[in-house]
Amino acid sequence: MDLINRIKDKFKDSILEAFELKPKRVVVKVSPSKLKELARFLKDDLNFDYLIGAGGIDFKKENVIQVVYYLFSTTYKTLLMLKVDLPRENPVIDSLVDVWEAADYHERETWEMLGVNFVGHPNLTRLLLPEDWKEGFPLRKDFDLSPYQR
Amino acid sequence: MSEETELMRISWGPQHPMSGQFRLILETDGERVTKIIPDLGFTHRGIEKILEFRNFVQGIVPIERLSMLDAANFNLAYVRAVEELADIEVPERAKYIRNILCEISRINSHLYAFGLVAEAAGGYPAVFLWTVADREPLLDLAEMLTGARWSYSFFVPGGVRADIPKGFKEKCLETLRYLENRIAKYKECWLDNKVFKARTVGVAYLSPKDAIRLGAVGPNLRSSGVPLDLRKDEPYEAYGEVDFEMVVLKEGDCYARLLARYLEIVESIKIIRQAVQNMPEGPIISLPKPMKKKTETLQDLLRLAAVGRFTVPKGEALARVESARGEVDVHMITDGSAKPYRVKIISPTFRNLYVLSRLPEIEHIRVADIPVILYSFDPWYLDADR
Amino acid sequence: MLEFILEFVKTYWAQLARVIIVPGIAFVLLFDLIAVWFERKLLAHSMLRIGPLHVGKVAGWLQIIADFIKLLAKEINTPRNANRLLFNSLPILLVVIPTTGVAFIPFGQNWIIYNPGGLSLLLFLAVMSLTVFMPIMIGWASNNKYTIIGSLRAGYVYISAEIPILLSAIGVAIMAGSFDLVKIVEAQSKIWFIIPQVLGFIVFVIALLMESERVPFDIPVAEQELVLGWRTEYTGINFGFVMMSEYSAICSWSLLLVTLYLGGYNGPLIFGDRLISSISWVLIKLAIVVTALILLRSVFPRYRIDQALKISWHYLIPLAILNVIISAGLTFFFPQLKALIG
Repeated sequence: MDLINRIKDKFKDSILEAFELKPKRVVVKVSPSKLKELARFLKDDLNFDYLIGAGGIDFKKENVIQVVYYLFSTTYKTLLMLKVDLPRENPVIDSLVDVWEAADYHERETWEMLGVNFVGHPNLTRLLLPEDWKEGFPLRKDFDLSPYQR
Repeated sequence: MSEETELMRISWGPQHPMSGQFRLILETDGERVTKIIPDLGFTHRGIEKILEFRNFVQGIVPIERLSMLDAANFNLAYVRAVEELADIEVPERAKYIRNILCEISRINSHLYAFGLVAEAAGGYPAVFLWTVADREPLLDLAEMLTGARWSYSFFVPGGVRADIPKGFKEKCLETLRYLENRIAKYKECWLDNKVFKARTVGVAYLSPKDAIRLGAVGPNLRSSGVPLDLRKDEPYEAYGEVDFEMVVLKEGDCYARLLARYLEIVESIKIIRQAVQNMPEGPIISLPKPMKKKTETLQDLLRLAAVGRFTVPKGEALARVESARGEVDVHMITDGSAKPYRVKIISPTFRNLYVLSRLPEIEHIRVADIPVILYSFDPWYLDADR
Repeated sequence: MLEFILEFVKTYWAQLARVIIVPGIAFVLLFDLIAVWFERKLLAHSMLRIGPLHVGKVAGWLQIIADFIKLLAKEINTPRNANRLLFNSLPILLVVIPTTGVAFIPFGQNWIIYNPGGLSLLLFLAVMSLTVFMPIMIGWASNNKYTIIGSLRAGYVYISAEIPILLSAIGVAIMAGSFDLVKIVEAQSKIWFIIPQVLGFIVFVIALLMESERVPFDIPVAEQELVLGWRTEYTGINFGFVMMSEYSAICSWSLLLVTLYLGGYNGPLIFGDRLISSISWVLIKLAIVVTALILLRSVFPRYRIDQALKISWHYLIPLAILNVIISAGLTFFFPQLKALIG
């Protein structure tokens, strides 16, 4: 597809994976170092101006935390899932708040739920969890649920 | 003693007559508001985590708890994600029934939103309770169809739980006629009310550019002049086969946001009427391809789910559904078992509240505008907190 | 002793009846109770609800008394850093002041508690304007952010309401040629002042809504923004006093409206006796005015504070001044008009 080809042409080896899940759903996986550059390219050149959300998935077996940005282009009417794999021990990634302002809350949520550290985020503080929350990241697969189960 | 004026920080909620389970931290300089900080999380229940421990049929119940008023649309987003993964072809008749319930749910939610804006602008006006009272026939209609008034749990992977009961069509058309008469009255006494216009026209203007930049969603986005409606963009279920208009306004203020909801009620009535009249005959449920049978019933699905044999292949799916408050996305990752590996829900209120916290033109906002602006965005804190 | 009391009652029965029954204490208290019940019932019907129903068999008429007893039984909380003396004493003053206003309203030709030698209108306005200070003091004494915002709003709104009220009342006084409320009522025996003073009437009604904190000008108490504005911190019977003062103020202001524009106690002798029919006419007119005030609540949203001040200073006050000029001109250049109207 045209979109994937343009991304692949520009970023070549940094694109680890790019395919069309189904019509109007594109998945692009990029290496962490190129994330911000790709984000700028997507926004400025391919017109993915509307950020729908961001979240993360904890793949415990692969020892990977995957951060996903859900982007939408108001011109192509296509949803693009921008994925990036981070090591589980120390997930650090550049914040995309200065590219898409709307990523603010989503990154804060991902930070407190999965422990992904977004470098450059203006206000990385608790959002949904209580202010005095100490232990662990609830959406990780190894989060100890026993205190919350009856 | 310092001569500087201090900003007053008001904790607007959670114990406040208008705030709900939610808090706004307002920085005010007299009547001027200089900063709005939404404080979420009072109703955080970890639905995304809960869903990881439920199989694909059980998951229907927790996801509805995200938005009780608009249960059908949230339910649909989850079910559609499962269907996409399990490769289920939904029967035509089930699609039409889904449409009807989704639109009933949407009208329900919009009526409530209308009433809340009315109440936010004034001291308990009559319109607020009119909307509550007029939801009653709709709830009866939903009860007739699904057996429940609020949380329907009516859509299951592969179709719907039950067929249309006898006499539903007539009652539905009658209810729609009643509703059309009533909402004409709303316009007369509230939308055309000069005082209400004075309170809302031009308040909290959101330009199309800002709406896109800040990630506004649903009627809030469309009332700012951005034509994005999933029912039109990627018509799911039977939305491609019914004739309706996308409500797009360009004013982008509180009044436009309310008017957009009002006009969407009119469109929803149109959709229900067409869906009820043009409904094809046929089965209402189908099973995934590997489990196909000659006649498929709800019991087959439930039996499969109960013994853990309702599995979907490993993979991921992203279902997008236009709920009353805007788009709901369910991103489901599966590992081949009977339960999802991870369900990421992107809910509309979460995104709308971010818009609220970064409202452009905040220098024109007064303390008195806060409830009007907040409820013009139609927040439902449960779906923001998840 | 008993003889003395009997003698006292025999001599001063009229004064006692005026102070205690009508238009005195019993009337105002009863008005508060009935008005609250009536408002709840009427608003409920406009909202497709039923309203109070069970307490007292007939349309829940005992509900308000039950609520009042409940408020009496409740604990009175004083916020930690509040000014205890002011906080707890002001609600009583708040009830007293609007109730005092009733003393100057004629319910019949001689049926008035106190007629201060032809200045009753001025004295009424002077007494009622004391209420302006109450919200400001209460808001400060409660030491709460909502009460402070509410009390500042109350200060703005009350002052913007007092001036148009005074100016439009002056228009009436000019046309009647007196500040005496009895003379003003007498001057309306042919035509009520609502007709020659229609401009002043409109100004007066809008300013009255502001002054008595009714929708669409219930800005100082705006529940949706400020919880209950300057009343937020009150609990128990203190809250009851605040509510009573609200309805007492409505009572006094509505009575002034009736007296100035709707002909006061003028009306045909429906009950034979002159006094009783005079009192009845005042009550009937009062009921109509109060019903109209209540119904506004189900129709209108609330104005924002800046819009309300703009309405007052940009429209009401100039209109009221215009009205004064017109009244003065008419009275001066067409003295025969006076003979026509009264």
